[in-house]
Amino acid sequence: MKTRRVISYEKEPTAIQHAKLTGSVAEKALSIIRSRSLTYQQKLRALAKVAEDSIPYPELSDHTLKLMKEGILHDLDEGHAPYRPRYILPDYMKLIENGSKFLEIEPPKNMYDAIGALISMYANVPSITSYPVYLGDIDKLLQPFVKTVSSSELVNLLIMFWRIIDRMLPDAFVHANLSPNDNIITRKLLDIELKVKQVVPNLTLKFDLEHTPRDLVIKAIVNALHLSKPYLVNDILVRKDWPQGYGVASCYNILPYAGGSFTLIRVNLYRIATKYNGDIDLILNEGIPEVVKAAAELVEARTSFIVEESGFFETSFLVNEEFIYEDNFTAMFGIYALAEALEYIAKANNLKGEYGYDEEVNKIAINIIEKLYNEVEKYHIKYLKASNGKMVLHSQAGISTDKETPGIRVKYGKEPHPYDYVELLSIMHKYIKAGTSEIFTFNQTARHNPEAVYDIVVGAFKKGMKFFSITSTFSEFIRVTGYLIKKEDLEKFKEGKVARHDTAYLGAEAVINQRALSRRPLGLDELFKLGLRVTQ
Amino acid sequence: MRKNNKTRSSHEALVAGIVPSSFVDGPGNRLVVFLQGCNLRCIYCQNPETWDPTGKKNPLCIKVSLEELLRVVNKYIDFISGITFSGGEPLLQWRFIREFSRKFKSLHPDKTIIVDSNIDVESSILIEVSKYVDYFTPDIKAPNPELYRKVTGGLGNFTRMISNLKLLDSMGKIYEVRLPIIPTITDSEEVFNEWINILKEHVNSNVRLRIIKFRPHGVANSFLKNKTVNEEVVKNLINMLKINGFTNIVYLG
Ligand code: SF4
Repeated sequence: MKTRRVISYEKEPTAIQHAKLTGSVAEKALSIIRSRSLTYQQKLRALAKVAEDSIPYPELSDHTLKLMKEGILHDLDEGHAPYRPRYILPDYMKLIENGSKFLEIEPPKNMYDAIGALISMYANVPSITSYPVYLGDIDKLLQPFVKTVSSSELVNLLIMFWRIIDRMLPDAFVHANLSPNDNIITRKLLDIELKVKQVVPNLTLKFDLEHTPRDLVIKAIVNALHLSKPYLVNDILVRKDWPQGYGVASCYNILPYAGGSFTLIRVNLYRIATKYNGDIDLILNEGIPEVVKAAAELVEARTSFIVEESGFFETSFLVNEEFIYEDNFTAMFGIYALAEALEYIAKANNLKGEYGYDEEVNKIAINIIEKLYNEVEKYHIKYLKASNGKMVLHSQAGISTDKETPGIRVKYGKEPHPYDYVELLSIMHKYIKAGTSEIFTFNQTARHNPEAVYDIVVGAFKKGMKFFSITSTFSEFIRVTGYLIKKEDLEKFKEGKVARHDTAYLGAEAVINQRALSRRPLGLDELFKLGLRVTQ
Repeated sequence: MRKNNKTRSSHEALVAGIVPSSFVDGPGNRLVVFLQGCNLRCIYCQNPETWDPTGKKNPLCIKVSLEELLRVVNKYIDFISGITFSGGEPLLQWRFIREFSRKFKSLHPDKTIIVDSNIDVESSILIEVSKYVDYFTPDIKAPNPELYRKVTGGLGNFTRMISNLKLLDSMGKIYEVRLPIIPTITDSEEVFNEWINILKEHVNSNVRLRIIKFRPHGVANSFLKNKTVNEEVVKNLINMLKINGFTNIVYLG
């Protein structure tokens, strides 16, 4: 029996590989059509991909091709001839205010109209996966209609809304946002989340340290302890990064509102480290500059193709009706495997310390991020108008086939004490504008004291961290790379009940084994650092 | 930072340890300061190294001035709801607690101070430190004088402890009352019933109760070696408490 499964773009390459793609376009297409493991929708997308990839890749220099071949620079298999931006964040408020001519939607008058309008629109927002990766600040969109229904109707409608999103858009990267303002929609949705227990949609609460009420954030934290979502964003700091407004899409991509990101390329920092034998000078002064140069070329080629060749910005109703503006698009420079890079560098330089713990190793990590940022700032790419022509750094959560650690995270199970992790991350987050997702795991003690998690989040945000992702040892969902899966599914997998060999599950196992926050006294060295000393 | 014999000063404390982040010592995330010295010798005590008030036998014991402690706390201040003094019996150094708390509260009026005390001390001390301390988290080690003496190594004064409980409740200074389940001593239904009666008589029924199951780890007394408490026993106590109107119960397992 086939079970409905939440799919994700990241899993599709695996599924497609199962269809054993070799040979001519026709052969590839036929093997997709004949596949017994792909759903209809997956076949459709895989076929489109085969067609797209039969077109030659945009022309690139040997320098860039070489770095791609070396496995240092990746295009994340976005396709040879992109015909829509990777991530689109429409201004759904316009739909609420004006309706849409193209979709033949009148401005909504009540909650029924509003939810109907949103669902209709979601089905028409493209992305790299074809699913909409951003659903808007749901509370802001629906708040105007709260009075048009009774309170029990409201709850029923919201449950229906949430179920339709999950069943119609079964992609773990479909991401809803909640604004920093307190309102009944946000509170009801948090209740519903605990009740329906769906991994879709992924969820973010924008947390404004000055305005979001404490009890609302704690309510969200209770959810996060049980479901590993919502994710919390430091609204005050992120608003400064994106004055035009922002949304959180897909796997923690923080992007300009009414726009989005043309493309995401990523760089394997571990591969840079090994290429230069762990020589810190060479990594900083050769490895990073050369890959950023190549990335800029790749991004330029891909974005130019979307804007100039594909006709997307001339024909899409999203553009014509000003749900998005070409000027509000950027492109992401993703990084990952920082942990492995540092492990390698430390070994090559005879450093005993570990990333996350040792000041010297942490400093190297910070230097790498700083250098990446400075190099990226040197390149001006024509169409990245939302970010003054610059690519923006994104700590990439990884894809399921990765063996390396996502983004700038410390390795699974090796995370330092939250205070120390915050200290390190708050420095790095300064440079990362397009989102990151380091995971903080809490244990049973947090269940009875979610206020304590609140304290840590507040401390982290005051120190300058921009994003905070919570999970617990008792959470029903587990965060794998950038998306969530049900622990139940993992258990089934472990028991061998479901025969799907997906590396994502192995990753999940690592998350479960992660060290949870413990009540640990300061050691002698720490007391010493604080100016206290045991003198016998 | 010298280490010396006795400290009864209001500006210096003998500290047995500092935990910068705890989720189980009061509301929110808290920095916990363990003060050296105890007036009791509980048979289930897990910190016997904190007993000696001179700290001589505790190699990790340090002498910390008020300013030094404030500096340490400051490093973590954005991450915590407040500070918990534990021990030992922290109120043996009540002058320090009072002075520190006075200073701390003037700097951080929104943060709380909690004292994790056995409250088997002079009531005047409780009243005095209450000026600056927000809450206490007393332990009711046993529900009658006889058992209480047995549990506290013959040193406890049941009447004093229990009247202090009432006093703190009337002042609204109780954050949580702790009930330790100790094998063969406080793990019978009989004892549970007595506890319930004592609670009914001395504290409000919405009081937060924390059940603490004895763990053999780190216990000095050989009498308790290899003894454990059955999960069913804990469940039974929780049930009995609920039936009697105490519904605010925390048990971390
Ligand atoms: S009062 Fe606390 S520290 Fe003192 S002996 Fe009893 S359990 Fe140990």
